[in-house]
Amino acid sequence: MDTVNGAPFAEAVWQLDAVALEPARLRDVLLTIPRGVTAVMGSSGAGKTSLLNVLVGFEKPDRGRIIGAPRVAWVPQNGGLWPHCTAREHLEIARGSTTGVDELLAAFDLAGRDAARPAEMSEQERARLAVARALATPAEVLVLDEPLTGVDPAPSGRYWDVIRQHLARTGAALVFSTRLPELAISEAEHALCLRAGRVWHAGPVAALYAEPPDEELMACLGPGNWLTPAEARRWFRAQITQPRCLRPEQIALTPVPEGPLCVESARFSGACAEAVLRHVPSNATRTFFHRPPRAELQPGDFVQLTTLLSVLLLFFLGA
Amino acid sequence: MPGLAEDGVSAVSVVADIALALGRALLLAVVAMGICGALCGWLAAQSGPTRTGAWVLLLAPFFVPPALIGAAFSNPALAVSPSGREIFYLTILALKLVPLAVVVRTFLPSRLSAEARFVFHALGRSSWKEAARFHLRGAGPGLWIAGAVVFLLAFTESELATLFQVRTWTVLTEACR
Repeated sequence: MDTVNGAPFAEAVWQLDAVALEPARLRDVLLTIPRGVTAVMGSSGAGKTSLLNVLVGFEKPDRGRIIGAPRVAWVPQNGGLWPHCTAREHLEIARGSTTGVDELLAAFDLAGRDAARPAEMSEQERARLAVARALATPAEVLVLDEPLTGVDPAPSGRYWDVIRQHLARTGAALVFSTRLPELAISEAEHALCLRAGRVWHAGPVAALYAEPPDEELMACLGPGNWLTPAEARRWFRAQITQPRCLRPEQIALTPVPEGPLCVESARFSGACAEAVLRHVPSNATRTFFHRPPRAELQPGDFVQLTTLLSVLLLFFLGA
Repeated sequence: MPGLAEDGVSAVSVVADIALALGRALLLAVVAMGICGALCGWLAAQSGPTRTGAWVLLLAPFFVPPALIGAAFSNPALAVSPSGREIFYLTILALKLVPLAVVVRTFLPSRLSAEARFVFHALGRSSWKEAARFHLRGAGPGLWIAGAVVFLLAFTESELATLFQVRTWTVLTEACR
């Protein structure tokens, strides 16, 4: 039996061994894609689509080999819809029967559009139909390239519920690419970060969120505060030996009458707030991301930076 | 009435020649429709000098004058049996007309994207009949126009048929004379 990092291959969906795709789209990718839900992340041009194309077999790697050939349902970046088929026909062809088609159409709010062809649909409807078609197949792995892009955030959550229920019911694995950190955090168990065609990081999402190895990887999962030992000493009066990440929900900016930290500017965007603080004794400034319940800081306010108790313990344990 | 009897033979022969030409044109149209999509895809995937060279090679037979083709191939063609001559003629005609179908498909590409085709094939359940119906429906007008162009040109072709002495309605055969 093939093994993946010493473990039986049955625990993985794919193993990539030095896979390369020219011109420099994928470079010697050595990787295991485990079962469960994997989010492929990276900036534009990092190789997300190339990797998914190679996994499903749409593109053949120029070098290397791929172990594993599960039955795949693929949602390409352009949807890959069939222009001559109606929404209903898409699902019936994918399913091979009419069973459950009405339910899927309803779940993706396409019940009233079942006779529409892709050209007659909005971009959002096409994105939903592409995902619905993938769910109509008996695939062992769903490979979704930036799924539901352009779909309004509010209903998008419902569609992800449908995807989650499908995975739970069928036991299928999911590999999806995204540029939305919150989507990776909420949906994925494994994170795969690509940079310039290479695997930059692969591991559990929770670990990448809580303890990213470096500042750039920290940014893959949204805003965070990267602190070197010197910065921790200056801004938190804390001693740490290694650089650490503090996520917005792990710190609090508390207004105080007087202190060494003064607010230069503050911007509240609902989920996360950004405050530029000045360390008065050294005149140094830096931006902090935090998560206040409402906008409350004004330029000129003095604040105290504190960490949540659990994080504080982590600080000292790590020190 | 010897003249009347001869006219009757000629009429039957012309009908047979038309039927033969129709069958030949239909066969070439189907072949062209079948392979022009793949050829278009392959040409699109090439780049630089390879692409230019491939286009030149593909289009060259179309621009070669029939008299030149006849001069080059009529002797070997005439040396083989009538059925061998027919195959020879069909091959030369295909080399001349399939590039036209490729040109038509280049300007009127399939409505099905490569991804859409891949997703369909990845389902892996369809019989060849279902697959053919799916592709014919999804290909759009370009495929039918390409087929029609090849069919009409093959059906009305006369120069090569004369040189290769194959039976067709555009060439007066011995029976018609």
